[in-house]
Amino acid sequence: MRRQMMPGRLLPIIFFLFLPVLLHSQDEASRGAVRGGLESNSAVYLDDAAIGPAPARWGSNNYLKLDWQRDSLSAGLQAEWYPQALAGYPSELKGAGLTGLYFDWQGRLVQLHAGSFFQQLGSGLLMRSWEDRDLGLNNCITGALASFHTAGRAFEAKAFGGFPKYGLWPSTGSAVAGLDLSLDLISAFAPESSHSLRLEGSVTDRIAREVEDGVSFLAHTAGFDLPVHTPGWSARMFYAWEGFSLKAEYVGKGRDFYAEQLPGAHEQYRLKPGNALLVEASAAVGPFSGSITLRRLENMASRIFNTTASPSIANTLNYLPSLCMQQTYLLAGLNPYVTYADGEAGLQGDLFWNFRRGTALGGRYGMRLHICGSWIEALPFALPDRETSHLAYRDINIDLERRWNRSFKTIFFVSIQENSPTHGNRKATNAQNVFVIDGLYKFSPIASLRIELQYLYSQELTRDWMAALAEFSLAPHWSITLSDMYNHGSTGVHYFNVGAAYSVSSFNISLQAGRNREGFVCSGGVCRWQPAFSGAVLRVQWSF
Amino acid sequence: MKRLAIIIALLFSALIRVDAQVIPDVKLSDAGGKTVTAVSLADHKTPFVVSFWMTTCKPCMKELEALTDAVADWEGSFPLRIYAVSVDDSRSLQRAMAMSRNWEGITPLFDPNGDLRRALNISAVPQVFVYDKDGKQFYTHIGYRPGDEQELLSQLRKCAGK
Repeated sequence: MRRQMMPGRLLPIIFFLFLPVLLHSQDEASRGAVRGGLESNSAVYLDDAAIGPAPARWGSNNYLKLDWQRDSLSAGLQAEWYPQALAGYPSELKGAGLTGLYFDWQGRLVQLHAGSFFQQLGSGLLMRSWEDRDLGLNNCITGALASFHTAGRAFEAKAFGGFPKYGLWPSTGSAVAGLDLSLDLISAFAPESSHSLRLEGSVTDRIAREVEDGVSFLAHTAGFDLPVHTPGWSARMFYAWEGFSLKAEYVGKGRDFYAEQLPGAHEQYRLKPGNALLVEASAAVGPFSGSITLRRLENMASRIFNTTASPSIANTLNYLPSLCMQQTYLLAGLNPYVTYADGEAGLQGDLFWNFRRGTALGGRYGMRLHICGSWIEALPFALPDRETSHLAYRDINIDLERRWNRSFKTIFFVSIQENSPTHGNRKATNAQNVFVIDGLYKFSPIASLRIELQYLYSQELTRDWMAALAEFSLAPHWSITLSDMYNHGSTGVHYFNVGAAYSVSSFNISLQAGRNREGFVCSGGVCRWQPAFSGAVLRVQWSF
Repeated sequence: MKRLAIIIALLFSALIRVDAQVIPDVKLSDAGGKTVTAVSLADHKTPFVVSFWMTTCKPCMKELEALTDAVADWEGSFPLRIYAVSVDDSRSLQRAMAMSRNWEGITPLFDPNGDLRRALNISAVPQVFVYDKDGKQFYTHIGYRPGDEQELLSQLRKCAGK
């Protein structure tokens, strides 16, 4: 079991550190501002003959966040409580814990921070600590951070170090440290210029303070010692001028422990360095705008600690989202692509065409066209067969949105996807074509009905699907949703859902009941596995 | 567990008297990559709207389209200032930049590591805020339903005292 900071030892310390803040808050004139957020997601699961037994009887994920700020001082904490985590969430989330506690002082040019913090270097390929409650991920770092910038922010520097969170508490078995520098050349030498050119660089180190016995054994068997330090670095450039921007980033990663896949489902343990290249550009000309992204990854999985246990989304130190479009329609997101961190290269592009109001094609209310495509290939040396790589994933998505009059608007959406179940190790792929009509009709300024009709055509996996959704809204408080996904090509299972939501100010409550299919739940291009379940989910969110 | 509950209860007690919240002093970036502080959005002359959105959030896009229409139809006695803060992470940042380049009347800003989102304790998008001319929060609403923009504009007029 991994050693973690114990709540019993921490809580009294936290209490006494916060006491001055609490006492001070009684002084009305200078108590500062307090903000907070409360979120509770709870579910009841039922057995369902169509999809199998319930994954659990119930689950509940609860979060409370409080922040206090007065002038340049701020402090805050986050508490989480998982009496039993929702199905599909990392198993490390169990019990209650203070998952974030910080004190911060921000001067005119200097910032000093003690406690937990989130940090991202560049695009996050090298290192990212962030929170995503849909994924059950929060790898905030508990330690210290200092940053400095010149007046006008032409030069910025920051240094940090600490223990990344794993489960509910910081993991003391592994530490990270980093240094980040940023120089805005145009601001420094020609502040009035419309150009922007920034050069950035970072170095990091992950320090393994403890190593799992199983990992040590495998390393010794394979004939190498595990390094204590896993260094990393990145060099970045950002240029922008009026409607154009270009970003380039190269990341190098020191030798790390890898289980290399071999033919016949065998594994070979090795120490391998990693690297990544990312180039992104976006531009706008007249009614057109677009972006293109090129990315290559080689051995870039970065974990808080090495383990022989099943991979957990909570055990991550960097951000490797899938390169393709993140789908929002039910059937288009049925089989999402998940990044192959061992080795892949891909290209992704977006084109937006805004037909302005009053033009021949735009009509009285305007029209929008969006085309998005991606092509991803696995790198041959990262595949078990070491053959020439094949296609890992490609898609093309087109959506056309038009408002016909003050009351009626439609979206036509087509997504053509091809996904390799072996990440390009074999030539065989699964193809699926998704067609969606999405219409919104406003009965009055506050009452509206939205209907989605969807069809998925495929000759592979579970073959054809159809889906429909109806959402009635009464602004600004109420909405009711009914939906069904039906796999008529193979299993004949319906996935009915009914939901209602009420919101007022920053308070939102929603209840959803029905049957849910197993599959990947993705957020920000990162995915976790969700088992099939039938039941009801209650979500309450409040910020103040 | 008991001690945790005590701490949380004590902290809640501190919330009983909470002033109108001022927009936090957090760094964002604009479409040209330059740093913009959230407090600098308050121009001490007119109120303004801040809408949080992301490229994969359909209600967010619907809200921004409704706000674009509202800008086109605006006949108020003060300029309508709307800032759309993308909370897309770095993966979707370029798409958010490309998508927002052709917006009319809405100023896009970017919060790729969620600093302002965390400072305002936003747990779900879209969430929209109306701030007065000095940056004090006047109104907020979570989620979007077609027609919400009418309430938003009504609150904005109230905030401006018009």
